[in-house]
Amino acid sequence: MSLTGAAGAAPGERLRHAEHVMGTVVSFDVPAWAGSATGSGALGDVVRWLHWVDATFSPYREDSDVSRLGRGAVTLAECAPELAEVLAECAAAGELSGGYFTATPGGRLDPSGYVKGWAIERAAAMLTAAGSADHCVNGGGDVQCAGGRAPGEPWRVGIADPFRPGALALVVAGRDFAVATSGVAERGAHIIDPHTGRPATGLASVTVIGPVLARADAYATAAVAMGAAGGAAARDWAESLDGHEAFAITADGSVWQTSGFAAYVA
Amino acid sequence: MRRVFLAITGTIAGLVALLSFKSHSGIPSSAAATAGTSGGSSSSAGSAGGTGAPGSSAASGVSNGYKGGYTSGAVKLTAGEKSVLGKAANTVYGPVQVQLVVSNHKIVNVGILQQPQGTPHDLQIGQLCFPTLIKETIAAQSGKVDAVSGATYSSGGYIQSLQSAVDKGL
Repeated sequence: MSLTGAAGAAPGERLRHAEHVMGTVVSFDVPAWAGSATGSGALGDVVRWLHWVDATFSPYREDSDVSRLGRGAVTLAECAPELAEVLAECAAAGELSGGYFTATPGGRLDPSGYVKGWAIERAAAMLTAAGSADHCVNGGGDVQCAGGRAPGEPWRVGIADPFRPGALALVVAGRDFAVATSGVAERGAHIIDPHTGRPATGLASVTVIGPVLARADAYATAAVAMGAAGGAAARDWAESLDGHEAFAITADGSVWQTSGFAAYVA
Repeated sequence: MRRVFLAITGTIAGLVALLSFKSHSGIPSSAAATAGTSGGSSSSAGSAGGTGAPGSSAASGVSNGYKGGYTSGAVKLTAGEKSVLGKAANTVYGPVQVQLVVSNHKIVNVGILQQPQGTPHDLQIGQLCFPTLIKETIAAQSGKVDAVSGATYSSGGYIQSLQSAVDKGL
């Protein structure tokens, strides 16, 4: 496995790597590990683990634990223990969101909406365990940051503008935080309101900032799902979440944010 | 171009955020700002005069050095200056849009292309928001982002994503 970093990265500046996995690309930025064989090895371990997650949790692979459990070919106890952990977390997120977050969107077992955030959060924790104090891991648009981008400097995360591909709506900055965005920009309306069975279209995107990514990502997805008619209900709900802040762009292009979000705006 | 453009879109959104924030602390709660639909654009002056037509490339690698102040209305460009227009932000008080004037990789002026008129809050918005907007512009225009958060891109869509540019160190 080659971990030489993305083409064009200034040699020796910081360790960057982009890995195609889980149907998207996971990007790593580890400033202190530039040119470090130990760091490169640790990053390789994380990348291999992400491919294991893909093989175990993908609903698109016939032989994944998720697919086999979904069609009743195996029991939960016969699956990787991480699957039980993920499903328990999905249930907790569902409870906290009034059922708007679910591991069975459309009636079929598919915890993908939780798995990616969970996997990226855990990947970042693996880097921490391997000795990195500062890193940023971006799983296809959901970001977990540890430490800062440089001594005394926070990580800067742009929030994509769903109406202008390639442009940003906002930049947020922080240390040791997660930034998750759910919405319709890349793949069209694909978040189902589980209470109606129809795609939720009121909110073009919702960004949730919190301490860790799995929960922030689940909250962002739930907020989009409850986003009918501009998302007043989603806004009230997001405001009620302890330790999390949200920013939303509605289908008609207006925006709202929770009361503490402004503290993160760069 | 990319850095300048990112900085400006971030700044406009920052203004939007500021207006929204103010709605929680004094200005009526209906003051939630809304993002406009006009995209950012840039232009450069081939010769003296004129604000230039949108479409040509803007400066890249802009450095700090702007000392403050802003001009009400569009700034006319002189030779060597480039104009970068921000996205119009539609607040309940009316649209707000800024123009950065860049010369030799430095922001030399900021024009307020549109601002609320004829509301009791004109003065308040101008006094509170524009200096902050300009300050944020200066802070943001030299900064790049480390990651981009957005609706999940596919493996194939990654190459078109801003994140792929970030990963290349651009």
